[in-house]
Amino acid sequence: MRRTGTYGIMAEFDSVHTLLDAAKREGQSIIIKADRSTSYETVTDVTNAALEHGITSVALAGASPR
Amino acid sequence: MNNLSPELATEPLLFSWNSPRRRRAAFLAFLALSLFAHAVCFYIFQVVYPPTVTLLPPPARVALITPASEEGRTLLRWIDAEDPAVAFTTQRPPEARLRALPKVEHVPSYHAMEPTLKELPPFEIDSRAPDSQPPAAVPFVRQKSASTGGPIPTSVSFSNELDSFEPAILPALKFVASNGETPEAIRFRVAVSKLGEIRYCFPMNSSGDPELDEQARLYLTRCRFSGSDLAGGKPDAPLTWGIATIEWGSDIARPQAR
Repeated sequence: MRRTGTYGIMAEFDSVHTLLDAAKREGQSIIIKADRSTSYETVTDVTNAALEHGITSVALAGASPR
Repeated sequence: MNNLSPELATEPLLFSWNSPRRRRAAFLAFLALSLFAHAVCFYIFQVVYPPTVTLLPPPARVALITPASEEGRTLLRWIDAEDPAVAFTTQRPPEARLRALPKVEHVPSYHAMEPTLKELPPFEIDSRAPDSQPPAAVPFVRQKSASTGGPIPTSVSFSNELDSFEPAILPALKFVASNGETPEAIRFRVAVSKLGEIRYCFPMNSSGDPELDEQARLYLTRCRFSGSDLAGGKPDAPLTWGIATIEWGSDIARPQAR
């Protein structure tokens, strides 16, 4: 956890639920950043998991500025 | 006006001026009943079934951060800087190039060179009836010694520096070893006079057998090169140095084993 109150998550999808619970308890927002090799289904799964855990602010990071 | 006549006093009034007590009592009863009803309702809906105050959560929203705005670009740069995948992934330096190995296809040797097959022996049908008796005992063949060849003779050779002489006249080889071990080849630095005799003979290494070393040294001193006319018959002509090598063979006499 950083000073800004954000988490850096690199974990398997099974352990994402635990991290999302912790983020929910602390009222954190979620920013989902996926590389191009990540499937769209995985992104939607993580997004849905965040919403199901009650996290109301989920952001999808787009492509980085060149 | 207060002095009314008795006729007028007995005449019924046009309006009823009865006292409104009953109406007042009804009004009070209505108020009391209303108060009771309010109390009952308050008890029922506030005490027995308290109202559940629920605050609806804020609606979930999924935002998309795009570099279209300056704020989005700043946020995306911050996300890139804080990306944990960068810290956990080995980053190849930009100047490094991937050296792709050429695709090597394994070619079996039998594809490059087709083996030659031997001809099958003719198939012979043995029409004889098998013998009921077992075959004879397998003869025991003793392994012969590995030395299939003849005896290896001991050889003496000289280096190229002595090629100016005629071939040396070597006496008969007769060496006797002091032990049963195989000696190593021995080399001597020799000095040959123009008359063909070996003046000096210095061993350069040992054969491992001191007696053989001495016998080899004496043997070389008895060797004579054919006459060379380079010296002009002068015995004090300069010497020619070379190397003599004796390689031991199997003709060395060895002590009898006890």
